[in-house]
Amino acid sequence: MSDDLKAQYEALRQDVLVPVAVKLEELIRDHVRGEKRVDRVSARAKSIESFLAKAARADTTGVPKYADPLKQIQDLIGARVIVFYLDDIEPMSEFLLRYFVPIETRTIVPDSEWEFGYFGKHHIVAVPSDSVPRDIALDAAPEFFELQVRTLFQHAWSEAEHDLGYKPLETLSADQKRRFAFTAAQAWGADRVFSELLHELRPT
Amino acid sequence: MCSNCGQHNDLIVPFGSRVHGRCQYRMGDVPHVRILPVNVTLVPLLAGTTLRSVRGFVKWHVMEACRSATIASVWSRNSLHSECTLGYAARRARLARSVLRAMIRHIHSYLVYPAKGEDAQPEISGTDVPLDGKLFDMLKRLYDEAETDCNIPIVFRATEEGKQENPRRTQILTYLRRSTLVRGQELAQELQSVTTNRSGLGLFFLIAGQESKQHHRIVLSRFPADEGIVANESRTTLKVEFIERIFMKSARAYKSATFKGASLDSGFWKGRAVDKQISGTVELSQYWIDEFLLAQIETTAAAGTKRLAQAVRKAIKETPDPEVKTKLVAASGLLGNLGGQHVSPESIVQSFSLPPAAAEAIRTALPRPESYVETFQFDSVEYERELPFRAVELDNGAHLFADNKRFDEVFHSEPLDGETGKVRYTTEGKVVRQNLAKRP
Repeated sequence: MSDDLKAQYEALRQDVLVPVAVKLEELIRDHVRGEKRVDRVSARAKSIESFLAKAARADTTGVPKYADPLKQIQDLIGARVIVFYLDDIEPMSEFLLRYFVPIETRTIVPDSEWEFGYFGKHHIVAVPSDSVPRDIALDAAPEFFELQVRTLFQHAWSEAEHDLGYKPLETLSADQKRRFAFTAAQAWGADRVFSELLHELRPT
Repeated sequence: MCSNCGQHNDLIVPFGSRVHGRCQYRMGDVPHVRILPVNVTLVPLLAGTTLRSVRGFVKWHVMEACRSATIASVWSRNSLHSECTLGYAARRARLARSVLRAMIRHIHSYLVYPAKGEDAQPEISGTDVPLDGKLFDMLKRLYDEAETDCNIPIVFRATEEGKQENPRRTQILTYLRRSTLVRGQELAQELQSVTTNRSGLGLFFLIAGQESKQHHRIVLSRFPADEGIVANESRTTLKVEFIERIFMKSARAYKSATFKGASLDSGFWKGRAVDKQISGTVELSQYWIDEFLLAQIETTAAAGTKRLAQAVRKAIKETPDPEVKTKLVAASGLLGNLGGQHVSPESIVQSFSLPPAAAEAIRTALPRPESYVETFQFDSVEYERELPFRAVELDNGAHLFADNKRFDEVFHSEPLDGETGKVRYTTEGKVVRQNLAKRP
């Protein structure tokens, strides 16, 4: 990937993405204020390394996936709302979509029922003009950002996996993959049990 | 060196263009962006070529004013010989029109009948609109003004399964890739299939243009049919005649939408729209944005209402003028009745006849100036969630506190004669609770 693209992204990140992410975090925090069982809200601009790695992706025929990564990558800013329980994900997603307009909604689950890995609810939503500081032109801001809603356990697993296992899965040994899957299964199980306890102890 | 074919390094590639003219044709790029040969033997071809910047888009145009320009004159900004400049002024208007025309590539028009829910859809007739003449001039204005006319940011909807796909966006991109009468007809058919008798017959225009080398833009517009009278006056007589099927673009009688993007392979998810067919209000007919465009207003009801409520609260707090404060407070109590209506801060200021100082206070309190004219559907529930209570503090230490919407019912106020700024508040009721609090 060219140094030119890296320099362009560094400038965009510093001048636009970081300030917009800060405002976005404030905005989401304001929206969820008073909502129950929200652990935290965060928003951040994609790191330079992650951007360059994503920009360099190619399709199965080797053709670059993004002709203009700065414009085409829709998660240059990612925001997360971490909720306590699995049961909170759908209501919180619905609540947030009262304020944000989605062009994509995905429930991410592993490919097969026999696998364990990342679980989460992701939306690609329009960046609201409110989150663009007055000194930044609206056209300069990204059109969309990724809004994730996760449980505490999904978040914990994902963060640790990102820290330790952020490399193509092919480079991990079979045992390492199995142990990552095991931790994912533990997080999945904890979410399930908390969900059951919630239904038993606080039936609505 | 042309990045498309890699040949002809004897070509000048001006201002970032990296492909031959002929390659641009093949790539579907703007045909009139030329790559000019340096060879002085081709001077006649270059004669009078002038550099113009139209809305930031650098274009090259061959003028007929001069047939003997040199290379030096071609590359200078002042590209005409001094003797040729005399003819320049006369040709300027024509040149300006040709430059403007260059931005619009195709215009197609279709007669669209109301046929919502009909199994057999009427056949749609369409035509290619020439890029010249008075009709073109009118449509050119429509195209140029679309981005300011269309003051409602919209976003194409995802599929019901949440996929990033939208059939209308796909049709628009298909049309932009190759703007033909047939491809445009597909869009006209979609419009017809959602048009009700209430909306009636309409003339649908598709205007495809190019903002810059890489920026494509489309304007979709529907003019409703009307009836009228034509008056022809001669020296001694006046002849009047009734005519049907007049299609007019009046300030209150058309719908329009515009989308632009850098690439036809991505982007084009956001656009802007306007619907002025319903006289006197900013009301949006569901059929244009929701049913035809398969889009939604970018500012959701909750987000727009919350933003407005916060701006009103901030304006009340920060305005130094007590009269403005009073007017804003009074308006805030009435805003809750706007539930379901399409409003913008600007339309609210107008409908409540708020003074310019109050308008300015709201505008300043909004997170961005653009928000002042942005339309959204007012959400009463969100409004009450954001501004549930009104508090009034008097200089005698009293604090009055009540539901914002009902404050003026609960407390009756009357100004005291002769006492500047003094008021008497009265209320009646049974005491249901008393408590101590840190702050009201």
